[in-house]
Amino acid sequence: MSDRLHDLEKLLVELWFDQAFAGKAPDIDDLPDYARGQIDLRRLAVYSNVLRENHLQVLQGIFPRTRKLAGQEWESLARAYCLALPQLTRNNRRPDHFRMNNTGAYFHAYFLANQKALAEKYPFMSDLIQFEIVQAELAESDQEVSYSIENDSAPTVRALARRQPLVNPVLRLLHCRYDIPALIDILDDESRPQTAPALEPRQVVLVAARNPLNYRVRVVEVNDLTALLVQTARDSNCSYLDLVAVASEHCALAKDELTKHCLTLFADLHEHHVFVGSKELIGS
Amino acid sequence: MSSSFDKVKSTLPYLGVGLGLRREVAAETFEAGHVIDFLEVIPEQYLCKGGDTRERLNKARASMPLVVHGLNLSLGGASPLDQEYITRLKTFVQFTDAPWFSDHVAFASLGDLYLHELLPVPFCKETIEHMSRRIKMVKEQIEKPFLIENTTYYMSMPGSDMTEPQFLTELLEEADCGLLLDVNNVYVNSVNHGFDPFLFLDQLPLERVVQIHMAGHLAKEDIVLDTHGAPIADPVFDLLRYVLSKATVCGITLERDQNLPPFDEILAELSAIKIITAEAKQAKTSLELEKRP
Repeated sequence: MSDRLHDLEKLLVELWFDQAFAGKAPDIDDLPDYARGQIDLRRLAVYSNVLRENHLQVLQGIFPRTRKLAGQEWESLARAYCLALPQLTRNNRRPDHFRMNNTGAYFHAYFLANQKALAEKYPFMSDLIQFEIVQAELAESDQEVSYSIENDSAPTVRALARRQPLVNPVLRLLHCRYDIPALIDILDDESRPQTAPALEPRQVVLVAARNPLNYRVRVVEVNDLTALLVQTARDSNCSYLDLVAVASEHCALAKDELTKHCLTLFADLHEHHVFVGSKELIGS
Repeated sequence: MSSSFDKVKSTLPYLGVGLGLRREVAAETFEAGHVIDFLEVIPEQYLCKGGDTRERLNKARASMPLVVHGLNLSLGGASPLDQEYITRLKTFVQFTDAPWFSDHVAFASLGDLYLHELLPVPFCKETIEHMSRRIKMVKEQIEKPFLIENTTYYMSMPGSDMTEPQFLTELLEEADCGLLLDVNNVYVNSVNHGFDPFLFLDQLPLERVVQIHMAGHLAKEDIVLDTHGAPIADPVFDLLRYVLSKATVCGITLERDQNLPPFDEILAELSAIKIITAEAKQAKTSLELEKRP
């Protein structure tokens, strides 16, 4: 049974997909004997429409602003991606109903590889796609975050040496070629003219982190040094003082001034939930 | 009912009239906890998720009884069952303390391709053998009473040589599980395929019905679509009355997924279902009293 059922399901899915995403109506002569005369082509189209609508809804849910930016070109872009999806997901993270975001996981790579004309027309679209999938993934992440408030506003050097910042595990650093938060403001402005936004290239580094208290994903722009410190704190078990040392290699400030600057920065990172607490280093 | 399922059903609690929990109206749902008897949760909306999704589940669990209604088993699919999903589903069912769980008579994926839709299966003996084998595997692993839901089908599948009631009856017997009877799906299929929905119900083993789904549909030019995006239509209420006159069920759920109306309208529909349930109970009691010597 499984072979016959598999053949039938495969045939129907191919017919539905071709019709839904490539606009290719099935030819009755191409059908295998067992299916010929048994498939109502009009009703087959109902499923093609349903599959198309459902896939597009999922993508629209993950990429609402990309859809807004693409305007009338959204549907053909999304359809082309859906058509390519079976190939993209083969032996890979498969999208399913409990990992719905996986449906959009390949969109960025697909866009870069296959949508040159659209990428030229909207050079910031690629960054926006990446931004939106990261936001969606962070919002749903099942990573546990234990959060504690930092009380020590003026720690001693000794305290800085023995304590390690805990980086929010629900966090991503994004390096963009365009100011994506500014682009989002433009796209969210309902009164803006329906033309492509004019945006000059500007390298920005963004930290997107989920607030462990209200679960909202907040995005802040950071400079290169801050990004480096966050990355270092995340990738190694270093103390606050180690981070100050890293900063000193990239900053010309005098020692005292640099420490003061770093303390302010650490407080900001706690406030923005980039750091979600501290812990005593073992052996300190 | 010549099965072990009658014993299983007799142990299940009566939950009343509940609502499918949806993110968009979760706050209103929790506020209206005093008029909603239980919630139906879709595991796929919570599995592998944290943040406010997990918070919502915790709140639901603390608020009222839950039943679990899955989408992803793909019982009719030819591809192997997804073991990772089943393992996670078992943990989820245990966490929710649901008295039963359910999924659909459909396939939802093909190999690695997830289809974002419940797709029909051929009504034939071979499908029954295939699906009942898979249902038994699921039942063994999850260790909770399991129900299968009748789904809509917009096209007849090649290879079908049975009617839907024949197919469902044999499948339920072979797999020895319960039925989640979606009354709206019966109505939608009856219009799309031109059969009498009351006769259809007469042919089902209604004693296996544990839960009922009520929902709205969208009538287009030449087809009726099961959208869960409209108020329940009067003929669907009529079918509910008919089922309740013949069967004892443990719970009825209202499903509303699209075009969400003001929450008062959802509560009004729940209230309408409760009235029908109470009338059916009343009628059965009167009948029993009349029968007494």
